[in-house]
Amino acid sequence: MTRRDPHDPPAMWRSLEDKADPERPSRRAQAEAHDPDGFISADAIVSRRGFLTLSGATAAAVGLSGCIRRPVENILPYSRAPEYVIPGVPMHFATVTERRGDALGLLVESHEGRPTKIEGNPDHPATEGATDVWAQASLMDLYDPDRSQRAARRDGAGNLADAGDTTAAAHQAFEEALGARLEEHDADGGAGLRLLVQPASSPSFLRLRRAVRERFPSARFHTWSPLSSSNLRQGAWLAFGLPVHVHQDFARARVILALDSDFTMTEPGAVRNQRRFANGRRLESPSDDMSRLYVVEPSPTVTGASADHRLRLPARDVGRYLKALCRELASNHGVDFGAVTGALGSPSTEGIPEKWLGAVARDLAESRGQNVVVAGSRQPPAVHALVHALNRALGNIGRTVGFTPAVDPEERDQVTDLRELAEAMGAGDVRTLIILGGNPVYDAPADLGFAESLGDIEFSVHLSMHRDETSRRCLWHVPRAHELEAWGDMRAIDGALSVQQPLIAPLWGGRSEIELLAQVAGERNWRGHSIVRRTMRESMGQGTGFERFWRRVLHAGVVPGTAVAPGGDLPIREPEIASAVRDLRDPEGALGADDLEVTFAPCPKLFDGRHANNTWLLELPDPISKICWDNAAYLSPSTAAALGVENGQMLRLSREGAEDIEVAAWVQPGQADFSIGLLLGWGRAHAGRYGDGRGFDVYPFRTSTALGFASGVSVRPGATGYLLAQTQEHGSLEGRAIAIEGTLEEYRDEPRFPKFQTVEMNIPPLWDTVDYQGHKWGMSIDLTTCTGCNACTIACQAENNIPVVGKRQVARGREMSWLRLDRYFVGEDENDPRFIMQPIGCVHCEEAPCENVCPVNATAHSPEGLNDMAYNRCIGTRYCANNCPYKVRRFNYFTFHGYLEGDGVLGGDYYGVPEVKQMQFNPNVTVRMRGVMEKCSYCVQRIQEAKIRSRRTGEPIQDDWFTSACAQACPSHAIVFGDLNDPNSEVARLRQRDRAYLLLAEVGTRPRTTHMAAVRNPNPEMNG
Amino acid sequence: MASDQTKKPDEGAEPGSPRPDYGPVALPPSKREPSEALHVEEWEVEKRPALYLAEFESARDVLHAAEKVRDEGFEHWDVHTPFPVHGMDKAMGLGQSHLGWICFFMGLIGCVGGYVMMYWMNGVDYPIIIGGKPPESIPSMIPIMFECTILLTGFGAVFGMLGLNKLPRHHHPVFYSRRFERCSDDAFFITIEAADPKFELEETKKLLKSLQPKHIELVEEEVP
Amino acid sequence: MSHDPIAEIGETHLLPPDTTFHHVTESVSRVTENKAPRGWWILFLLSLALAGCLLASLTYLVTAGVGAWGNNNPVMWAWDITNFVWWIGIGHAGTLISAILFLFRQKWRTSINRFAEAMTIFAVMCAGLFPGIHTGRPWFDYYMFPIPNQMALWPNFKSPLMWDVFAVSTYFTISLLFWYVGLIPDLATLRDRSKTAKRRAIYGAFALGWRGSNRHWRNYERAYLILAAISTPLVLSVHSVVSFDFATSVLPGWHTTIFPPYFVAGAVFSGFALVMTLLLIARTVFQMQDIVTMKHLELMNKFMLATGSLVGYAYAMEFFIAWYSGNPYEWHVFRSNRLAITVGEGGVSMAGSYWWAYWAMIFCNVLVPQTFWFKKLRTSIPWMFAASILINIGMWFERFVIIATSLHRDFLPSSWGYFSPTIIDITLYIGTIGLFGTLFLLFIRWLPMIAIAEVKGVLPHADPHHGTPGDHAPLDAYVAAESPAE
Repeated sequence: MTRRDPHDPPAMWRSLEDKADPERPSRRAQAEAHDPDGFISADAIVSRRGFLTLSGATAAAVGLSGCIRRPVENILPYSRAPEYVIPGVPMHFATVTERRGDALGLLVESHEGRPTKIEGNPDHPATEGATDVWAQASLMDLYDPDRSQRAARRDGAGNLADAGDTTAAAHQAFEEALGARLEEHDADGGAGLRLLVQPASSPSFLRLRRAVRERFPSARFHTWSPLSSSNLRQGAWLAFGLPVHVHQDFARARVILALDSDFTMTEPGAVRNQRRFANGRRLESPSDDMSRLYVVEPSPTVTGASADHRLRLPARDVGRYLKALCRELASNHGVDFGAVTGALGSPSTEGIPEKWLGAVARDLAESRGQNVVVAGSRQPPAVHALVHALNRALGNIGRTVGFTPAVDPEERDQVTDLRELAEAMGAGDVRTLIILGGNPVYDAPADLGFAESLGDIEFSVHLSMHRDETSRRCLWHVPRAHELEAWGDMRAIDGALSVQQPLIAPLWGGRSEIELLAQVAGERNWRGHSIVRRTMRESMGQGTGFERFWRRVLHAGVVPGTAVAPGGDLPIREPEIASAVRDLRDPEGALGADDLEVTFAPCPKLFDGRHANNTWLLELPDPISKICWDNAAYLSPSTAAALGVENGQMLRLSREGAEDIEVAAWVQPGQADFSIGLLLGWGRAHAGRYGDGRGFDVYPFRTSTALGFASGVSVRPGATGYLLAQTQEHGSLEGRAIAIEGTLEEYRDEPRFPKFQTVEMNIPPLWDTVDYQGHKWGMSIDLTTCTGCNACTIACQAENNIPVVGKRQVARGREMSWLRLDRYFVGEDENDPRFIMQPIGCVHCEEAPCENVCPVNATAHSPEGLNDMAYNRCIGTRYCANNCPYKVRRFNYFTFHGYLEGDGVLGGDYYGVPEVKQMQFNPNVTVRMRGVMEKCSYCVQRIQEAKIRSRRTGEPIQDDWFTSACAQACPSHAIVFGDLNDPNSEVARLRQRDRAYLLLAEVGTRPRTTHMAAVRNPNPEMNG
Repeated sequence: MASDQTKKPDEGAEPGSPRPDYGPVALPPSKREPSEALHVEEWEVEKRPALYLAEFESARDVLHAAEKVRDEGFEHWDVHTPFPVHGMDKAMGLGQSHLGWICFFMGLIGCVGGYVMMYWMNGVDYPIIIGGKPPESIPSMIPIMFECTILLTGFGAVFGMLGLNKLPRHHHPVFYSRRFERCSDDAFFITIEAADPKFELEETKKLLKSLQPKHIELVEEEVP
Repeated sequence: MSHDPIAEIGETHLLPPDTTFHHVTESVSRVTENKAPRGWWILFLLSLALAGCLLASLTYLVTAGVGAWGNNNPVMWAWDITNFVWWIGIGHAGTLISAILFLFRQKWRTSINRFAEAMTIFAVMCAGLFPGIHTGRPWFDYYMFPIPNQMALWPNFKSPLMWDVFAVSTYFTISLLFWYVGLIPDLATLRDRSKTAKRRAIYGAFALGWRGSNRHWRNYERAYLILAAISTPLVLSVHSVVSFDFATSVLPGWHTTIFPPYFVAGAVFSGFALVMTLLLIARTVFQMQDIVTMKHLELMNKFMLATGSLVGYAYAMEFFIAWYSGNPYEWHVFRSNRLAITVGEGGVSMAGSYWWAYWAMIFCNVLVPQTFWFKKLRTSIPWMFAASILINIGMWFERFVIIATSLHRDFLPSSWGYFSPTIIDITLYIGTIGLFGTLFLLFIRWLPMIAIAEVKGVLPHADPHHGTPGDHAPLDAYVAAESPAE
């Protein structure tokens, strides 16, 4: 998939003396010694040339060129030795990014030192070459023009003001202040010194934490992140008495029961989960087996959307359902829960369909040892504990369920942790507070009063990429380095250790958490590079061969042998579980129009709000509701009817102990009745020019006692007519054979069932059809494994310089995404439909209707059968788009690049794009101007690159040389791209597959893209 | 009044002397209101008769008159009417107009030219795969071939007509006569030009008189 | 070239029998010579203002981009092409009246053909504007012409849009020539009547020194006949080609073989309606009731009745085929997008469809003309005025229905959308009406709005054999053809 050279690249060095003694301070370091402004000044950024000088530094380290300032660190190209480095030829570097306690190994494409595209690292167990939405989009965070550029201090008026005229000066001012402060604390051993940090997955962090504690024995660390895994941890602790992370092998499980768990998208380890889940359902032939997925959840997620059976249940009833299920298994299927059995009691099954107990229980009982039960991190620890007990009782543990040690053994319940801090702050015990990352003022539970008491602290520091809500309440703000700018190390949930190597010197001279922490610890050499090397050296204990080892690690992106295969068998602590389950009371009273439930879920776009200024994600349609630029309160149709609420009507939610919030309503088929789905991460006040005031902030409604969900909510409908922009307004298939699905039985009875629903045009053509001799590119999209996670959409956007157009234009129907994910509701019951996702880009028809009608030959076929757009030839009659049956063509009604920055009256212009954002553009893809039609090009630039390589090396293009951006990103491996004329290419095989069908074949366009029908594996008993 | 017709019109042409009366003669333009003056110093130039202008009452009269003139065998003569008088061609002994042939060949050029253009551009010079169809498929060319045919035929008709009529021509002796201005309103004229071999001042005038015109006048023009 | 009307077959004089040639000359020319009446000034200033707002909105459109309109994905074409087809259709009546009626020797055309031809030319100007500016990058429009350009690429002659380019430009050129050729003798009339050297110079220049010579009339009439003969297939081809834009596509609601005749009928229909509107105004403003008589108007109403019924038939047939073909996409366009009988899971909302446009079209184009069966309405000036305007509204809606309702919900429900116009859409459309009005008012002010020479030609005493039947009977063949009595 990724371009990699067959041989291992040689060790790298900058210069001979460096090779001799890699540790000696470099010229750069010496220079800095007597050059206070030694490192990148913000002013240097302003000019493009200045930037290139900078970014060249990265390239310099791999010996691209010599005549520029060199960084201290060596970083190694993943797959290209510098002898091959040619300007214009991108290089790829392995790095890693953090995602909910897991580490995603990445491969970043860099053009002359500018990171332009992020892919998954095939060697990394967490990604296996795939990526998720946020990894793809993090480039936009790197190039966010609103990032903080200077250290800043609160002035008399209480506003943040630059602490110096240059980045360097500002930093110095801060360091002096911090140094002085810490010396004071040396005296009192750090009494009143508190650090608020993100959950740790970095060995260096753990090392430095120890170092800090050594220096300040009475200093305290607190951990907070709005989306924590605390429930998982405590559940595991309850069940096993060990700090472990529990793995589920969705590939081997035959039956999967997901309880309020979006394990393919937002739960920890989502990328690997999705890949394995897809592998468990991949159908090569009718004889293949596929897993069956039951999902119980309040609000539809992509996981629920790919379920074979989905039960809409309010989040608070999930525990009750689990107990009822266990009871059923215990009493009717002889499943032995040991001591826990008694604790189950006899839970009420009210509101739970009988088959969801009987049939599901039977299914689980019959597939003992081959199924998985998993609960979402929103559910309380007791539920998790019971799930573990259930897995144990079903004999899954050791087979489909395994364990790895938690990265941070000290990890505690974060709410308690934060509450203690807040109380201490309230009591005035905190004199110095250092906040490393995060944005607690925005996302801390409203009832802790954290934000209020933060202002009163004498000396508070916030390290963050933006001068956000938290920074504005702190004494000091320090710009934080982006993951792609800083050195670091990370442990994945399976223990795989990776080094995070920067792709580019910090654009705004930011610091990473560990660097600041090292300064607190008083380390002499606090630069990230040395920190990480030291950690690595200590933990690996590699004395002599370290350099070679280090380079191999950088090159591979993961320390070999650190990833432990999940497995092992742990005894469960039945008594503890029993008591916990006993405490798990059934919620009293039924939900209703006056007693509603709200659930808080991470936004599938902005996550917890950290991406709130990321234009790609802001405009990305929600996987289910297809809303962009906003979040909304999701209500089921019947709930909406009961409340008399319509789409876009403002709702005022109020609940005991939380302040009221106003959210626009959205009627969401598949939502549990009387349960309102709320997405976190919106309504930021100080996110930046793009994110400010977008959507609705629901954190004020989220209290420390109700982080996941809460009932007792009442709703007051307000004004109607709030505009929610959707990219897909119509959800019904209208009975058309477009996204074709069938059951496993149907598929086995008639493997070619999709072909019977479409009409293949077999009439002989009136003319000689073109015979494509050389390459014949094609794509295959498997609807069975596609979950609709959107990774492909963002990957396409990043690869092809696709602009965002803003909410108003989306509402007008002018979004530009080349690859769209169609979501259809299937079934009669509009409250409880099935979902089917269908990615559609240009299908590159061999007899393309668009080409016939273009008066200026702007769109035509290449000799390889690509339907090409000649942008500079296009005059924009839009006739092609009218005549496209798939409506995949996108038109630049304005110059959309820089449109958001413009006045919105005269359209944008390329130079309106903030310069730092221009750096993201892929130099191999034209940036389109207004008045031009555009569409999926099958990533023609990658095809050309491969052809050039083939010409250079003389060997024919191999299937694994390259693939399209969407296919490369897809964690499900649902999208496959390649050469149809290459007999052993995967896509050629898939095209012959029985499930493959041509979309709208009856129109006679002969598409190059085939879709493969979605096959569901429903339980016959459930359809009673 | 016929007697003084014997004098040559150029006799009294010396400058200053009063001109003898030849009966109604279209005065050279400069004698008109200054606003209508043509730039001619008429006393320097010598005049010669250009044509006789006979005015008739109605289309019917002029038609029958024309038949007579035709029978007299004149060649350089013409009939001027405010609108095309039906049957006048026959009355004047004129044959079919050749315009049809011009248009036919122009149309042919348009049709073939259109086809050649498209064939060469899409099929020879720069063939591209469009919708998987052959680059030079004839069916798709038919509409444009048709339009080209029409266009060139139209040009043939209009410019052919002007060519055959030797138009535009803004100077013509008939315009010296003020009466002739009513030709575009409701007057009908027959003109016999001096250029005609059978033209003779008296004879021709007699002939015209015999046709009972409303009025006769001799139009003079300068000798270039 | 006329004959006495035969009472037995209900023939009457088109013009009062006592009309003299001079009277015709006088009543037509005086319009261009006298001071313009107040009515003219009012209309002219109004049109000029509207034309100004056309200029303004064009400037904004080209500066900002096509996004200034409401067009979106999937409705990539909307008012722009609707207006284009509407205007071009209106143009057709002009050519039809001047060409086809000429070939059929319909003498009554002479009072209105100049008018109608002028209308054609100005309408085609307005129409041609839209394909020009609807492109995303109008400054590259020349790529559409078969001329070498920096791309070293030729146009794609397979595209119906290219056919349009040729059809419309040919149509404009030929109409202009036709119009001008007809004007030459009348310009000569104005030249000869002119009191000032300026008028004489200007009209004279354009009259090309026409002197009514019969040797000229001979070629002139032949040229006129040929132009008429080629304009007739041309006018049919132009709207057929325009309809190919839709008919050759794959889009349900567009992909229909009935379009060419259906479009032509509609074009003639709307064209006649506009001629009627303008004629009624001009006739009143310039008191020409004796040249444009009720007989003319009634004949035109009959024409509208006929073409209107044709259009109605086309609607019905289109609908029937959509159902009969069993093509679900096609049927959906008619059932849900147009009729808006909303069935189907997921609930197609009434608001999402264009039922109002469809029913407005049916009312104006099918029902309104049917009233012309009744002589009372056929001869009532107020009603025919109202009807002519309603019909043009209806014809605009027809094009809108064809374009927008087919586009906004086609094959894949996921890409369905809805179009709503912006202010620029509206100002541009109104603006073209202003442009048309301005040009037209200038025309009736400065050029003979009635074909003087041709009207004279059909006066009874224009016939050299007037009152002497039998004499030269063969030359008068068409009289026999018209009235078996002879």
